[in-house]
Amino acid sequence: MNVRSTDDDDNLDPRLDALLDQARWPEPPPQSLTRLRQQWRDVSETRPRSISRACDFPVAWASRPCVFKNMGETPMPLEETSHTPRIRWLAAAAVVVLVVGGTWFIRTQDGRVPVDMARHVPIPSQPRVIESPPQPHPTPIPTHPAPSPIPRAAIMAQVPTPREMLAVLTPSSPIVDVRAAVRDAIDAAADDDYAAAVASLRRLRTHPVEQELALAFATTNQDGRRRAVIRLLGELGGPASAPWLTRAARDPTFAAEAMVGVARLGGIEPLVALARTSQPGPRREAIGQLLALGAEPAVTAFLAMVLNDAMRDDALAALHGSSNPPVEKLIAALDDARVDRRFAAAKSLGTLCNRPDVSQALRRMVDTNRHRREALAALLSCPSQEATLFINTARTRSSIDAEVRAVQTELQHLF
Amino acid sequence: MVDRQTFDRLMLDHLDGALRFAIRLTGNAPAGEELVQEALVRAAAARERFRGDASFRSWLFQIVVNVFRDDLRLRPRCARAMPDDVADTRAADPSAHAAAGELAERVARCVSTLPPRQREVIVLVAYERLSTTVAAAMLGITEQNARTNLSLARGELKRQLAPYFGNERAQH
Repeated sequence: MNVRSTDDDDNLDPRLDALLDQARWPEPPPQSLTRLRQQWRDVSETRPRSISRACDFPVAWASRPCVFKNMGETPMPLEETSHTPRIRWLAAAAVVVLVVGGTWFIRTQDGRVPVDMARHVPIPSQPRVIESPPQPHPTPIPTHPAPSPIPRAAIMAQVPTPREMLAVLTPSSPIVDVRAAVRDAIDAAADDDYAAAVASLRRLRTHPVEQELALAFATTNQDGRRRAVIRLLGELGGPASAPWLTRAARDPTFAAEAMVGVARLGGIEPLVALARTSQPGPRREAIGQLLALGAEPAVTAFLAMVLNDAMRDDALAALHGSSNPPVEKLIAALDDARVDRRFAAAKSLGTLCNRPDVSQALRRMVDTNRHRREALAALLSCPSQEATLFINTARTRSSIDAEVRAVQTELQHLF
Repeated sequence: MVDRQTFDRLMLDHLDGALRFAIRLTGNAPAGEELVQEALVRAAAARERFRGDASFRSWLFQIVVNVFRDDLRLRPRCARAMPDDVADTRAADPSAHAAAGELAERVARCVSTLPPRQREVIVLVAYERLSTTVAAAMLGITEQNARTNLSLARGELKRQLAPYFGNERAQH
């Protein structure tokens, strides 16, 4: 190895070069490079291009125009971006020294007032003395008091005090270290103090918070912290976070946490797309969130999954496992204009027939002949013995028996 | 300024080199990876400052060096601490260590525990094969300063590795 240096370097030694050639550093683990590549993709996509060079100005509050640019036209309370705190405080200290020092200098001038300052100070009007024309009989000229010098106190009253100057210069909201706040919140969320973490971040502006959260996700390898980041992003993130959360939701490790955010930000469409993924974990989480939304379009999307052979089992399993299934909406769907949707709703209600309210509602519908076919379809889909007993008893009536046979045929045809 | 796709491709192409460079500076793989992670974040923020008139590798390495320096500023004691098992020149039989196949790691450790500026220069010149002029420009120092640091680094390494002089051929 030729360690190029000055020719007259006393330390040039071929033996040393030979030794240096042998140096062997620890090899990075293979996944290290993969992680870095993934991180670059995440960071590269997360960091908005609108953060221009101007926004890298070291003092956050001094870069107000670029912050407005990033946030639209509305002036917002400013927080710190990721600039070096030391530089910020130095700049703030310099401003304070200038303001205080300048005012002190003015105040300590012994009666002297700078010309241009005096020009701006309102001066009490003095009556003009008009010389009277010569009189034949000299009369005493009225004497007016000589114009007194402008009182120093009057001038100084117009000069803003250091406190007033600072009030003008200081941003309206306190400067908050967003990165530190986000880090603390992630720690709290990872320690199961999720409510406190959310509360602490809600006070801050959304954009920098979600940006810092995304960066925190990209720069940590701990799954616990990553989950905390995703939960926080799902709770606090804006529309810009939706694609990022959707990507995270495809990962079985983070699907449960990310899906909540996807549902909040994206609504039904991304959930339906995620429900079609090949991964069973994310698929079930997506269907679960779809059911948790409970809205009519969500139920319609769910019924389409029940009618789909490839998705039916997962859809019904998710419904069965749902803590708050949309029973009302499913019962309402028994009245749908399309037969297949009505039967899909009946099949879904059959999955929920272990719930007393559903079971009783279905029996009442059979007894009162209100959506009897669909109610029978639901009870035929119900695996409980009580439902079977009820059907067998009802079939003793010939009209119902014929209807049960028709419903069975329909069920076989559809499912 | 290069377009985004080109920039991403350049970054992915140079990640491996940056990681090795960072490991040489820090002396261990996890710290090197952390260094590069932070460098990536900074590179993403400074993407628009790269205008393509300099080598991308130099630009990226410069960021890695800056992160390395900031890291040292935050954790100076850790950085200056010498590992316990650096070669002891008074050891009775240093060749025994060399025979145990530890010489390569020892040399690396000695390089990675040099004072930071000397370390930066010798890693860039000796292992990244840069001239002192380019290394000086990358490190933001004068060429003379780079040469001085290089000489000091070599002197220190000679002192630490003197017991192994002459054994290096046996390791090949």
